[in-house]
Amino acid sequence: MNARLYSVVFTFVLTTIFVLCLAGINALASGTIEKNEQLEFQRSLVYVFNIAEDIDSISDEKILSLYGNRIEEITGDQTVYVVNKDGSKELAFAVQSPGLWGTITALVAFNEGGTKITGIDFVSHSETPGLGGRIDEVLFKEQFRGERISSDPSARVAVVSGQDTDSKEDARVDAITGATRTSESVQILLNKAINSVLPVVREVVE
Amino acid sequence: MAESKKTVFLANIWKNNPVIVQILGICSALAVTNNLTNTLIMGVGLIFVTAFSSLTISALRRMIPKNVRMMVQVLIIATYVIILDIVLKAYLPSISKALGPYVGLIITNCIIMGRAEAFAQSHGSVLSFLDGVSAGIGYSLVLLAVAFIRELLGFGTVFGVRVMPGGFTPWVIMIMAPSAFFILGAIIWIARTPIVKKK
Repeated sequence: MNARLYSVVFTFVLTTIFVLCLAGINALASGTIEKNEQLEFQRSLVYVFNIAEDIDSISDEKILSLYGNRIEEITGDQTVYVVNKDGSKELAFAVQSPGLWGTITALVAFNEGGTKITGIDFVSHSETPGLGGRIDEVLFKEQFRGERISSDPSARVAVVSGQDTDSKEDARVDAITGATRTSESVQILLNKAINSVLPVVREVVE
Repeated sequence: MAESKKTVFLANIWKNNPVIVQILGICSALAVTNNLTNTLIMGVGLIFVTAFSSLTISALRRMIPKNVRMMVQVLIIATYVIILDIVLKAYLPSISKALGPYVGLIITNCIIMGRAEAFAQSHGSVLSFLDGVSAGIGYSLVLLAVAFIRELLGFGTVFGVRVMPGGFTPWVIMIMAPSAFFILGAIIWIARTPIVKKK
């Protein structure tokens, strides 16, 4: 056979075989992958609402049962998750906003009156590992629990450096050293969540 | 055939180690080594991909037209990497998340292409498979050594188990990229001294 034609046919046939193999494996695994992603999201919600005793060592079954029993899901333009805690409600929803390298998707929970953040978790982001990627760390996320929201629409919760952030009433949390842009992005994400999504969501819940 | 299985295997681990001697695969050696667990998975992943792509390329070597040789190699390597990525996502989701984009970047790890070109292209299937496995092991051993130092000093742990005393202050630089340059450089320097002398 003509050598040039052989190259083309060979490449074509080989590619087809490999692509078919991959498609098969993908079809076999896609169910499990989807289940994992769902579980990851539910684990995130349980963390945001702070309804598990010890989120790090909790089993998958426990997450599923907590999600099924405690968390109510209201679907609509914006899916809202509601939890009843000793008579008072907390609500959470997902927000997306640009980060330094890519979109940051976060789950943010608020008290019923919309005056405090009760929890935050970053579902997906592509910030620099070891720098901006540290928004995943518990120490950073826990700062937001119970933090009061300020009336300034450009800094609902300010992510600052070199300031006193100890009080839960000051609407300030510590930024991440060496990740100024990511820290700013988190502040912008919260502004977006509180200014434009929260009022709509609160109406839905009521 | 001059090369026995044993010499091929041992050469890749020491005398012709892909990282220390050939200086290949440095990018991932710097990127994933701040934590031993991730490093181990990365190493196992690389052993799997190098071994099977070498095997496949070697089995097809008489059929692959010379002018599209590299394209076919990349196709084969990419296929195995995607298989690995799918398996990790399905069965080890937390590690898949921790390794993030680095799994996909195994495709560009020069060690695999290097073994395909330098070895699998011209040797039998069994020997190529062994060559792939040992190149992967050689790479993993160096990475584990780097990761051991970085995790021990950066977090005070080994495989996530605390070994340093409570008062130990973690060296933050060990978690960041620069420390990998220093440690890898030092390891290459120390390990190459006897190899260079012998020559």
